[in-house]
Amino acid sequence: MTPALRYLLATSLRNGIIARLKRLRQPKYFFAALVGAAYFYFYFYRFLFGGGLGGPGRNAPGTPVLVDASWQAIGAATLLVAMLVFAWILPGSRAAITFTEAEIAFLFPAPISRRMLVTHKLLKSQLGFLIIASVMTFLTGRFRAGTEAWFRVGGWWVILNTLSMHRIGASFALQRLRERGMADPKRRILFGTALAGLIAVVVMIWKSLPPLPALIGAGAQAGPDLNGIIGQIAHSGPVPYLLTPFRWITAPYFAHHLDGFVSTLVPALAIMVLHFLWVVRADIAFEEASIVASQKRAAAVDAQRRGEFRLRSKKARRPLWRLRPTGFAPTGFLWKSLIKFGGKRAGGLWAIFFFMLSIGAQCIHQFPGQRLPNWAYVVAGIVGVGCYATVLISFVMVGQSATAQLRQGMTAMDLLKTYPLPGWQLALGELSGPLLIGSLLQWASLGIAALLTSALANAITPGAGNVIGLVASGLAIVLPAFNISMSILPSAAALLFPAWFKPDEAGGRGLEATGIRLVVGIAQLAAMVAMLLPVAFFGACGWVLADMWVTSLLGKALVAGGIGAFVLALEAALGVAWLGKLYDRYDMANT
Amino acid sequence: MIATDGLTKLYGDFAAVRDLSFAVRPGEVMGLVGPNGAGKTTTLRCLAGIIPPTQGTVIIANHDIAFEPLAAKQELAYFPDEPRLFDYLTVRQHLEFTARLYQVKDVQSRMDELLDLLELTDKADQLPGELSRGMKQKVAIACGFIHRPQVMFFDEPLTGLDPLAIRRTKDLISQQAAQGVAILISSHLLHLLEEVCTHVLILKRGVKVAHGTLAQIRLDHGNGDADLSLEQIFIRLVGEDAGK
Repeated sequence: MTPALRYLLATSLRNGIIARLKRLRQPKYFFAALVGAAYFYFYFYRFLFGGGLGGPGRNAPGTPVLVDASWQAIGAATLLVAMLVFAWILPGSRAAITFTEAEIAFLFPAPISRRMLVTHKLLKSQLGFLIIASVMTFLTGRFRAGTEAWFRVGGWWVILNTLSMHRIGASFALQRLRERGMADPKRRILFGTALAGLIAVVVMIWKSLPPLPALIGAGAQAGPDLNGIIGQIAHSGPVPYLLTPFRWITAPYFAHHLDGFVSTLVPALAIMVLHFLWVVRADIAFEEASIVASQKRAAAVDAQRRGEFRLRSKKARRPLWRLRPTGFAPTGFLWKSLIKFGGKRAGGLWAIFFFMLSIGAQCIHQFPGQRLPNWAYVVAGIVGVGCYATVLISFVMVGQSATAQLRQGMTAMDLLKTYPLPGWQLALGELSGPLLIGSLLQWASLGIAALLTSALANAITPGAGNVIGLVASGLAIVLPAFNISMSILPSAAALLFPAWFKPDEAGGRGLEATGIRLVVGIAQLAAMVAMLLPVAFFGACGWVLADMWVTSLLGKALVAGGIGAFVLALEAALGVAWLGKLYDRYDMANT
Repeated sequence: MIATDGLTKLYGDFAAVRDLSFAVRPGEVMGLVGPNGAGKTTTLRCLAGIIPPTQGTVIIANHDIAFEPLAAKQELAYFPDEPRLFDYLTVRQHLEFTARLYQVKDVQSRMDELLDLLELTDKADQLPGELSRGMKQKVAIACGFIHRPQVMFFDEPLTGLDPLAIRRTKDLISQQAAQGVAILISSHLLHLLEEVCTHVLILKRGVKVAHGTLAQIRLDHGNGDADLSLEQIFIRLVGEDAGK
C-alpha cells in the first residue's frame, strides 16, 4: 500500500472521530448520544443478553447452551456454503468493489495501479470488520467470558474477510466471463446446473442415511435425539469432506483455548490469504462498474437525505386515476403520493395479493378443523398471527411514515409556501397518502387475520370467533382516525423544532443517530397515550350511560365505541387544523 | 500533449464515442462541445484513464495510457463536473494527500502558493462540510494543480460558480495554457469556450462533426459568414439534437 493511501486512511479515521466528538458539543447530539448509549447498554447488553457487571451473562462459561457446539460448527459451515454459493448466483453488482465519489475523482486518474486500488479497498474495510466483530462479541456478552471473547472477535474477522473477498473474487471472475463474451443467461444456466448438481449430492446424502425417527404424528418420540441425527448426517458419507474447507474458515470462532485458536487460525488464514491473492491478482477492469455503483450509492444517500427510503424508479408509474385540474387541493397531494407508492401497478399487485389471501382465509373459515389437511391450518395460524403482528406494528409505523412524508415535504418548504393554499390543506395533503395506504393495508390485514383466527377460535371455543370479529370491526372503524392522530404530534414537533428533526438524520449511523431515532420513537408512544386517554375516558362515560338504558353487550359496545371513534376523529380534525397553523407560521430562517 | 486516434467506447451495442481522433498540443485549449448524451464525459474519462476505451489509442505526454498508465497519469489532472472531496480531510490535508499521490517534492511551498493563489489560506484547516460549493471547486482545482500536470481535463468547470469565481477560473485556465499545459474543456457555456479556447471539437452522438480553430470552424461551417458565433455554428451542426 502506498504511503498516500495509508495517509488517506489514517487521516480520515482520525478526523472522522474528532468531527463526531466535536458534534457532541451541541446539546442535541450530546443528549441523543446519551440516550443511544443507554439504549445499547440497558436493552442489548443488560436485558436482551443478560449482561451486566454482576452475575454471569447468558452465554458465559458454565451457562447451559441451547445448541450443541458441534451443531453450531456444522450449521455455520453450511450457512457459509450457502452464502458463498449465492455470491456466484446472485452477485451484488458487476464488480462488487465500490469506491466513494471522492475516491473515484482522486484515485482513478492518479498514478496508482489497479492492484493497489483493490488492496486499498480491502484494507479500508478492515476497520469496519473489526467493529462488526467486536459489536457481535459485545452483544452476545462474550467480553465477560475472559480471553474467549478475543477468539470470537478473531473468528468473526476471519469469516467476514473471507466472505467479502470471496464475493469480490466471484464478481471479478464473472466479469471476466462477461468480457470473454459469456452473457448473463448462459452464466445463470451454468451455475444453475452447478447448483442442481449440489442439490443432487445433498439428496444422495440424504437417501444414503438410515431412516430418521418421526418428529411429528403418531410415531413421534417424546424427545427425538436431534444431536444424534445431526451427528449422523455430519459424520457419514461425503458431508464431512465437503464441509471441511468451510469448517476450517469457521473453526477459529469456536475455539475455547489459545492453543485451539492458534491451530485453527492457521488453515483459516491460509484460505484468507489465498482469497486475497485471488482478488488482487485478478486485474479486472472494475472502474466502470465502480463508477456506476458509486453513483447509485450517492443517489441512495441523496434519497435518504430527502427522507426517501428507496431510490426513485426510472420508469414512469401510471396514476390510479386522472387528476382533474380543479377540486379539493389535498386530493392532488394524495394522487402524487399514490404514484410514489407505485401507482396502478403496485396498487393492482397488492390488491391481487390480498384477494388471494382472503380467498384462502375464506376457505379456512368455511371448513374449520375438518376437511382440509393439517398443514393448511398450521399455515393459516402463521398467516393469521403475521397479519395481527402487521396490524400491531402498523399502529406506530403508519403514523411514522406519514410524519416522514411531511418532513420530506419540508425540504421543499420554500415551494410549498408559495402555493395558494391554507396550511391545513398542506398538512392534510402531505399526510393523506401514507395514511390512506396504511389504513388500507391495516384493513386488509385485519380482515384476513379475523377470518382466519375466528374460524380457528370457534373450533376451540364456540362463540369466541364472534368476539374476534366484533373487536376487529370496531378496530377497523377507529383505525383511520387513530392513524391521523398518531401522526399529529411528531409532525408538529418537526414543524416546531425543524433543527432537531432533519430528514438526513433519520438514517444516520452512530450512537447519536440511534438516540435521535429513540427520542422520536418515545415521542410517538407518548403521543399515542396522550391521544388515547380522552378516547378511553369518553368511551367509558358512554359505556356507563349506555348501561342505564341498553341491556345487550353489543349495544353498549356500539355506544362506547361510537363515542370513542367520534372523539378520536375530533382529535384528528383539531390536530390537522393545528398543523395547518404551524405550517402558516413556519419560519424557514429557523431551519 | 493529448493525442487520440480512433477512440471508441461501446456500452454493449451502444457506441458512446466512435472513432474519435484529435490532438491538443502544449499551450492549446480545446473546447469539447456537444448536446447532452453526445459522449463528452465518456471521452474525458477515457482520455484521463478512468475507464478503458474499447478501441483506439490515447497518448498523454508521450505515454500510451494503455501500456504506461502510471506514467501517463503522472502527467495529467482531471477535474470532474462536481467537486468531490473526502468528508474527513481538511483543505490542507487534501493537498498533502494529493501531493503524496503524485510524489510532489516541494509540497510545502507548492501548497502555500496554491492556497494563496486560490484564496484558500484561511480555509486551510476546514473540512469540506464547512465550505461553499465554489470553495470546494477551488480545493479540487488546487489538488489538480499541485503536481504541475502537463495535461488538464475539465468537465463543466464553471457549473454553479458565481461570476467572480467564473472569472478567476477562466484566468487560471488561460494562465496554465500560457505555461504550456495542454487543456481539454467540456462545457455547455459556448461563450466561455469562445473566450478561453484556441480550438473547438463538436461531438454529435459520439462522432466528431467539427474540429479546428474557431476561425477554421467558421470557415468550414459558416457558409461564408465569418461573423457567426460558436453558438450559431453549434446549432447549425447539431440541429435537432440541441436542447435534448
